[in-house]
Amino acid sequence: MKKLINKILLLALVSVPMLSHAQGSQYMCNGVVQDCIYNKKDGYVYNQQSQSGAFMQGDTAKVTLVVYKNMDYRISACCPDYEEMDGKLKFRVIEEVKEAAWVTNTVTETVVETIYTTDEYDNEVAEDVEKQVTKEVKKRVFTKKEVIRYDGYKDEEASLFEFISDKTRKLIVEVYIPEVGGEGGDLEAGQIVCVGLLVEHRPAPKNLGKFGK
Amino acid sequence: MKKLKTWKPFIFGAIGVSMTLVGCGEETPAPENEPVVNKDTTEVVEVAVEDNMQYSVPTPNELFNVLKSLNMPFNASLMNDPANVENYTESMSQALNFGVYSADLAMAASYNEGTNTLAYFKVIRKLGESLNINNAFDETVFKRVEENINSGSTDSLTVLSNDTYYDAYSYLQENQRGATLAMIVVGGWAESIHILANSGTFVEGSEFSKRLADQRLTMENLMGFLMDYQDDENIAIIMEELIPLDEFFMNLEVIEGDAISTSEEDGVYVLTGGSDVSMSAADFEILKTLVSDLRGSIVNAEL
Repeated sequence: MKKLINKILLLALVSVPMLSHAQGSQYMCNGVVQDCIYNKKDGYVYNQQSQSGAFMQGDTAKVTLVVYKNMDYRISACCPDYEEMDGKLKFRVIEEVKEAAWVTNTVTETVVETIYTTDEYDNEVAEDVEKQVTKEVKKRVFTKKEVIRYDGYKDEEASLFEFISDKTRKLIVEVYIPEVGGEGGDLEAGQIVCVGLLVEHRPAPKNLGKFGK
Repeated sequence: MKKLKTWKPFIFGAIGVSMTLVGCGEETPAPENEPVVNKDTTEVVEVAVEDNMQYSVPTPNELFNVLKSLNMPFNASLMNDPANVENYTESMSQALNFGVYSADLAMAASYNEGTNTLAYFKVIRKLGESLNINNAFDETVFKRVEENINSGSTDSLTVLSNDTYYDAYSYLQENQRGATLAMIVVGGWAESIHILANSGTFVEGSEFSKRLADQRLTMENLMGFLMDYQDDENIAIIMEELIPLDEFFMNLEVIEGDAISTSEEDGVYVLTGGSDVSMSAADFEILKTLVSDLRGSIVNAEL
């Protein structure tokens, strides 16, 4: 018991500075997304759903965004402090889609059945007997499926995702922060880095995403 | 911060186990002569806990662009009267109404309403002083607004209103005042949905009805965003106030849409398909009442 208490105390002493450090790093990176390059020229406006954060190399971060119909969005990720990260930050855009499906469940019911018999005096006797009944029940349910709308891992060149949508939808942006430190540049292995996820928007040009003659 | 979140599944797991234990102790006999249904144990109930997810909430600016695209007219009577600023003496009402006025500013700016835009800039500056976030604002922004209005050039008002909101947002984040920020976000959303709900005539299946139903997604993200600050007493009160709206949106009917598809044309992706959320005329009336109650309690400083 004493050993256990000592272990808990030790863990608490070690965790406090670790948490403070993590929190400190998180705040240290506030606003870093402002250093990502964005294009005001084309009428894009900085979208407040952009995020900044502190991450360990090798981390994967997730952000959910709501995007509106008839808006033109651009998403990019940057790590402005370290050139080593240029072109290496990759992200995927995922949508969780609900799909209707039929699910068949096997259900076992215990049914009480009354059985009538006659006793030795020829009187009718009722007896309740429990009976197991198995049946299949079909239910229509919505199942969740992840659809990858954009896979930056496959896209060697581009580090920017520009899109429009036919309806308002919720998207998950999953950013992977690669382990590139300790390979000769300023960034050391295991060092925390500040990453910005930049979202920009503008009203979609009327003909964008539509075919003409 | 991230490390703390990893405790969430453990806590939920612990609650789940204790609930199961309580359930075992309180075994109740089945009523006589009624079938006892033992469901197959293969049925899976999915509970997703995303411990490393950040929730973003779209700002009023974006929503008012949508409103404009629906050719909804500008209606100043839907906005909170700048004179009401004198009523906001508590930090909670100040933060919530900072959000409300930010939405009004975004609305006025997106419709190039110069005089209204200036009035809301002034009221935001005043509330910013009370909330001690005026250091966030670049004073040149206010000069630029006046110059833009005086010169009749109102094109950049949206950009300036966006910048002001961003400055306040970043300042609060940097100064670790997340709860104040969360209240501003709630106020902004409440005012946006109030303006949206009262800007059009409801016709089932119309673009207007779809845009309102879409707010279900924003509501989900708003609640996700607030969860990070729910230990704050004021945020807990606000979250409780939001429950009726949250439940309303959760109960809207989800209907199947077209097949999911992603295409690319000249580097621009087009996302199509997926389910829709439908809203009936009766739902719309309920929504209007719920929004009016929420917005009323904010602008009347009753929270």
